[in-house]
Amino acid sequence: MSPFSGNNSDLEKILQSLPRFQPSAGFSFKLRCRLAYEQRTTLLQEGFSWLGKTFRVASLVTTAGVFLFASLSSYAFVSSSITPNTPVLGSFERLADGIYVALAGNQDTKTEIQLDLTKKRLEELAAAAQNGTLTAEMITEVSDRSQELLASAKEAPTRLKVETLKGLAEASGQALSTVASAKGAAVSAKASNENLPDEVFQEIRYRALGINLSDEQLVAANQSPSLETSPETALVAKDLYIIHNDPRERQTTPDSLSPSQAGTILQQISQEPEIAVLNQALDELKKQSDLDSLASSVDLPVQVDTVTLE
Amino acid sequence: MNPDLYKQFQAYYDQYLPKVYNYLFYRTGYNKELAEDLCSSVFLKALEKFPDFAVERASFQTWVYSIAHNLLIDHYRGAKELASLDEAEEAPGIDSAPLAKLQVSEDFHRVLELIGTLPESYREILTLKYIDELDNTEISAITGKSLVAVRVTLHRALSALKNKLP
Repeated sequence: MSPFSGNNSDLEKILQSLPRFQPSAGFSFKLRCRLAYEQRTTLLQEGFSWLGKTFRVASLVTTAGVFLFASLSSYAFVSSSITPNTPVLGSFERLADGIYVALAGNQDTKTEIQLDLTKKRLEELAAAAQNGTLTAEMITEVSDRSQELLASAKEAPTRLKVETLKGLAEASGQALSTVASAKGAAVSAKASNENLPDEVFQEIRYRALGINLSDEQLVAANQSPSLETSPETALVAKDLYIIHNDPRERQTTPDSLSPSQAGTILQQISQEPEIAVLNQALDELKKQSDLDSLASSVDLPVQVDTVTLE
Repeated sequence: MNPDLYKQFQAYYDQYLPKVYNYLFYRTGYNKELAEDLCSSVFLKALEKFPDFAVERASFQTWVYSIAHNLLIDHYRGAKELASLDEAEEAPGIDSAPLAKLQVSEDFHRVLELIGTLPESYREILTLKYIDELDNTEISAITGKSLVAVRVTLHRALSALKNKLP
């Protein structure tokens, strides 16, 4: 950009050369899907409006046959548009997110296989969403697949990225905290406690995170590939069950933190996007423990010394 | 809306989404999330009103920018940041946090920062004129100002920016 000389025409050139910021492809796609769905919803509303007018006209005519004909025609129109699985607006947005996530993950072969939808089918669904020809059956298809995948994700949550899990949660309508809990358990699973057997430690952690997994699922998660996690995450994960205040397990743990130190950790990790999912699990845990009072008492930097829990 | 009309709307969407987004991005102080929210509202409203839209009255560009302009006013009023855009002289500057995230050269960063310190009405007119490349007639239709008022505000906006540049 040339230096400003002080005259208006130079200033205008500078302004004209300012960058143009583009919307992300993801946002463009999702908004397009939303508009397509709105268009479909409007058609349904028009159908209902027609139905109402039809009955008003029919009520003025005493011929029972005309009334019956109008009823049958309306029912045929409405029933062809609405199925028990017709989603409300919110779930369509989740579906759009789910499809987008699926497409975004398409370059990752593992994700494509796990979704059990071929690339071709994903593209067909995306095209249908873009053209406004998405049917209730298609929506159900993605929703069902997402729910199946989420169910399997709890057994082996390491298989999916956090973003994929979130997208699938939205597509299936499940609470994000449920999904996050599964992932949070997987993230924390890598943190090891030297004194406790891995299986026991993980079971405790899962319970501390409010996750109910069967023995088979625990074993499967334990055998999952190692996850990448920062030392801070591992430390926090260890402290989660300490904070959860299980006296029996605390005795076997060499490291522990004071409530104020634990509270500092909670504050710090709440600002780390990389372990945002763990925050979701923490939210769940907070409901079970009075952690807010711990966090509010913090005024010291964290020092990981061996301090007995007060 | 019949399918042909919707296809027409889709074509407008493809053509004008980047422009409307860019407009809102500048007007919201380079806030991506807010720009996306407002952009969604703009096109949803445009879709709702599209059957009534008459090309003879205005171009789609002018029409959709007007929707964006009015939604921005509603947003600011709702946020109570400004009592009205006419009181822009006392308007607070743009939050610098989103600006810090922009990946642009240092020169542009400086100019964007300075634009962010201008009153709202000046930011609006500079964005419409130089970044959205609209003519004064279109700006007048979008903002509801007279052509004279547009020219005067433009002149003042350029002077204010010029005074801030090193």
